[in-house]
Amino acid sequence: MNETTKAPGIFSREFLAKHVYDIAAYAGLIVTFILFLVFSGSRLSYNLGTVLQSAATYSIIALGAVFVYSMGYMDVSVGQQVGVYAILLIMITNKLGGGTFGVVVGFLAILALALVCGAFNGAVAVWLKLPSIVTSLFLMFFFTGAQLLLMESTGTNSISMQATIKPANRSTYNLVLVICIAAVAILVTYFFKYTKLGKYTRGIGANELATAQSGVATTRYKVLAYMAFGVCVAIGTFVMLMRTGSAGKGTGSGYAMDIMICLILGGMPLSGGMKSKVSSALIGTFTYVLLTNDLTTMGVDLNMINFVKAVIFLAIVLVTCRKKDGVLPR
Amino acid sequence: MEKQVVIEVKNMCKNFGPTKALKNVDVKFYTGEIRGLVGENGSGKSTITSIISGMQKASSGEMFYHGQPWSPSTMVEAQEKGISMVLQEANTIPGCTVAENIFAGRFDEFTRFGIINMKRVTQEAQKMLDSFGISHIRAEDNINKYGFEDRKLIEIVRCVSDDTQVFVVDETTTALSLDGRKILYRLIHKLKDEGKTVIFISHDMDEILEQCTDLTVLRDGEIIGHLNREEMDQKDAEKRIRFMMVGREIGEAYYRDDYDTSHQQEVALELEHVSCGNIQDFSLQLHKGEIIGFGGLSGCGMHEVGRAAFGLEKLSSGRVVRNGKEIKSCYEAINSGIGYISKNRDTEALILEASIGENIVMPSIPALSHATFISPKAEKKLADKEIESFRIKCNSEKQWVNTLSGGNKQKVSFAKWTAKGSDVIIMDCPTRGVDIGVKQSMYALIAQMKKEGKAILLISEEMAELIGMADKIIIMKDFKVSGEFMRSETLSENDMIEYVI
Amino acid sequence: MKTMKKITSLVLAGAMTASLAGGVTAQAADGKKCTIGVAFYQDSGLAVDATKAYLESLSDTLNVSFTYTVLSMTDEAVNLTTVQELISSGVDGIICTMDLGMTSIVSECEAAGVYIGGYLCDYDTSYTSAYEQVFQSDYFVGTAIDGQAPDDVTGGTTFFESLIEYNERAEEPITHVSMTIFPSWAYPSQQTLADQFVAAVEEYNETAETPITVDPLDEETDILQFTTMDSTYFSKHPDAQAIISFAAGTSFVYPTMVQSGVDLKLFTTSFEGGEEENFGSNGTQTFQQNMVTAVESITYPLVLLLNAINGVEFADQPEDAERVSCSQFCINSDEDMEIFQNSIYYTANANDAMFTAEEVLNMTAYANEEATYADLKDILSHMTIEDLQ
Repeated sequence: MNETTKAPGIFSREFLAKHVYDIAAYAGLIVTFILFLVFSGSRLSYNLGTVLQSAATYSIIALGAVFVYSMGYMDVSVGQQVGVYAILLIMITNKLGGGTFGVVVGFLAILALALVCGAFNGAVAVWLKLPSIVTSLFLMFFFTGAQLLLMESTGTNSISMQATIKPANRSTYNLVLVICIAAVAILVTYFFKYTKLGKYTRGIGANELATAQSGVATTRYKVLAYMAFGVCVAIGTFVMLMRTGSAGKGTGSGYAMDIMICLILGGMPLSGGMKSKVSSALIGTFTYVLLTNDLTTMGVDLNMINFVKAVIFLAIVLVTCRKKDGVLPR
Repeated sequence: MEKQVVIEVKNMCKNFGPTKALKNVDVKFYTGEIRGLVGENGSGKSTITSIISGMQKASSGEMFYHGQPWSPSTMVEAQEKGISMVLQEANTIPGCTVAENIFAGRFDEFTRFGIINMKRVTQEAQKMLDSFGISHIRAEDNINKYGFEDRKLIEIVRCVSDDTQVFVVDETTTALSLDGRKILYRLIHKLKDEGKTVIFISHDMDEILEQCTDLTVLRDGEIIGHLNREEMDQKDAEKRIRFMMVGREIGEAYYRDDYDTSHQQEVALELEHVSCGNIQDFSLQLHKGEIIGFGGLSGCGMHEVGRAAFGLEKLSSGRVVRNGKEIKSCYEAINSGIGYISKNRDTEALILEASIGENIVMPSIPALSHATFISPKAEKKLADKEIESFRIKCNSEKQWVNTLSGGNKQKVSFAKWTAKGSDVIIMDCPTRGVDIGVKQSMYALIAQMKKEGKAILLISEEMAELIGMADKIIIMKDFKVSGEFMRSETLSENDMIEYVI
Repeated sequence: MKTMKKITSLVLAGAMTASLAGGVTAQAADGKKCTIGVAFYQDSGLAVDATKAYLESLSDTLNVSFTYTVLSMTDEAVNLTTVQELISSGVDGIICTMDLGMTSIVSECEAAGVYIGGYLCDYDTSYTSAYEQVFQSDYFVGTAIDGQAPDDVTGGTTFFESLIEYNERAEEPITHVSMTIFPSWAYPSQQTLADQFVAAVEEYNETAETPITVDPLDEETDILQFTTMDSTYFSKHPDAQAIISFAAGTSFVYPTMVQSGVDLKLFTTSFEGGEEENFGSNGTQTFQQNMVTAVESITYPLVLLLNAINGVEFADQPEDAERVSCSQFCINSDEDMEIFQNSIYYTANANDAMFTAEEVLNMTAYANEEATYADLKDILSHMTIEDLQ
């Protein structure tokens, strides 16, 4: 009898079944990128820039969200957090005379605030034994109010930063963005793959009880995970402000859902656990942004774009969702 | 009555990745028999029955049921055609009533004009429960009220009906109490007498020899041989079966062979007047190099003692002390060198959806972490060392734990603590659902641990295991200590049974 | 049916865009073939549909194809992305209806070499805080305002005149009114409108037999934050017989009136469709004035964009881009309403437009050497109800 145990080939059923998430995610990215190349035509380099600019904020926030999603948790407050941080950063900068000093102080302030909010998000959920989505809902409402109040106090719909933080030269700007994304990606990868933080958050997602019984102070790591997320939100906010230079009542709205969609498109299992990957944040955001860009450059009607996105999203979820053994009826 | 072939399996193979779980298996099951299936963990017993009952598909091969080709796509389909299986794992719907669980998916029979007559559902369910002799379970109760054992019985009630032709019992008895087992034995004999087929999987050799009419032994995905009742009654049957299962001589060295109850003077773990839940004022000293066994019925409080010692239970008074420091949480417990093997292996002891390596390394991560960095190489080295020393059957440390057989899973949960180098290990039912080969190596390991000066709290429902392994046996009943025995050659189960019940 | 069409268009879109990307840039006598993106404030509605119909009727003659999109009222980053997407899809010019994130949008246009103009928006935030980056940019061509610029307001007087006209023909003249406005961050001129209206009434009261009372603006209820008016408005103004709504009354005032069951007259800006049934002497006679800016005012940024794309300028064009006030249709009688119902704003039929495609082409500097900026500006002040006849 032939008993050789060779590694499964790339096209074997086992391989496909095991990597269905990754395959779907990579295929999505490749397809959207090919369409992008085809339809961009002569504006390719401009389009590359815009894709990079749109994706920068999303990908940085999504990279941070990997820690939270790997625990099987989610966060719906990130959009409003971005809004408030952006307004605060502008206000502080302008108050301090609109110089580099102001920007630095402003950034440190929102970074501190983001860390506090992260700690709150993680800790309150544990202490009150609430699902984390509830505390993040609370934070969302809180920040929505804060955002409105802050803007009300300015008396305008939108405030601009007096300092210019966007590099004047377009290619310098794009380079700065690439460096930002790469730096965050490297840091997140390090902490997620090679330190306690990532190992424990994945463990919490896969089986919290067993992780706790392996000597993990789960509360502490939940809080740390949310704080790591907070750092990325603060950096993401800065990158977003670099782009628009202004913020207002609706800044950031819808980001939470976009981030979730990006991560799912990138193959992140919503239940978290050991299959969570850092790469899903990058693949997902670029797929998402490229997809939007493709559809627009293809001349698809605006209303249809959302429809097409919904269909693609549904298709990916259907392909990647794991079959659970149903409870056996009689 | 002439025996007829009910199910015929021909040339069946089943592969999980590169692992071959079944290799060209041919086997026939007949009417009016209780067919035992035995083999070590991972020998393919559960794989055969799960394919027959529609839980998964074979990679290749054919099946015939009453002479017709048989290829059920779901367990539901199989059950409709008369093949039912009770699983190892719990399979009831939490939050619903017992009656709803029993009739789940069959509400149509009680529906008129779109309205379900719940009263009739409950009545019928109670009738069924009564007919199985388990009247202490009330059909109208929420199923959450009942423990694991009762839920298994409810599952059995749900599975078996007049239409059942083939009934598969997959290691269910380990989950049942003595009473529950008796109910199950009665049921399978009744089915046999009615000319139906029972396929019975168990690790308990005594049970197999008592209950089965025929026996099939598997090893490494192949049928090794069949025994009929006559052969099973022969004197050396047990030894012969074990040999068939393991493929080598087991030898007599099974439990500890020494009767040396000495231990070091140093106290490794102390419970001082601990009260929690129903346990009142419980004290215990566990010394280095000592094995203390806890025995009793499942609900006697011995499991809670283990949990309390590991910092998992909130104490209403008293304290757990190790090295002069109080242990208040499992986090502190682990840091002070205590390890705990939960009896709920799949939900508490292991992360099923994670690799073997990740599971083994988990408690040791703080030690591997240098300035936040954890080297994947160091992780792999540690995991490989444990896989090697426990002889865990796997392709690599990257294989997921949920692809392992029960015994190999249990080895992983042992390996977590040997990797961590814990000095006190609390084991709650460490050999539950584990076959002889693995059991033997675990007993050897426990004996080795004692020699190394580790302190062990061995909680077990199997008296023989306690007698064979512990220096001191504490029997509990109704949350109190009802008896204490020291290790001796003459100690027998009969000496202890009156303290248990 | 509509969905079918959309799906078909989606399928065809790929092929179409591919052929467009190939790019036929023949320099015809009637201007370069080009694409202009129009970013609206909402995706449909009477005015939006009429504007689209008007633009489409110009498409062939001007050799322009139009693509449409919608901006966010609240999120700068979204607007920037929307504009970038327009640029990605290959537009040569953009008409933008909102002043949110303009500095970054304009610098994006500069980088991509795409011109941008405004429509139905006074760009007041940019005008006052980012004049240099927006109005002095070589790529910003100017904007046609929805009504009047804050320093050029006459609308308050118009409302007053409508009120007096009503009183002259009505059996029961209105002697007590209250007002509503939008917040000043969005429409900085509305407070001025209100002040102007009050001043006109005060002047009138000096000589009038039956003076008119105007309730002062109440901060809590009278400033509408783009949400429907609160019903406590009516208890704040118990004696009012009419509401002078400088805010868009059909969407934000009328629903509350219906819900609360009050029988008041409404003088308002905006026309969303359906008001005619209760207008003047019809139906409940609630609406007595509607005031809207003609959709043809988009001609102003359009012509300037086309000039810029074709690389020409008017001889008399000012150095900085301008924001230009538009005259408005003030519909305050049954006759006015009849006339208005025959305009493109109401019918969305390009045959009812004030200008034909040839006329618009003649306004451009490249097609007509004699065309001037002054003439172009002038058309905006001739879009009143009288001009419709």
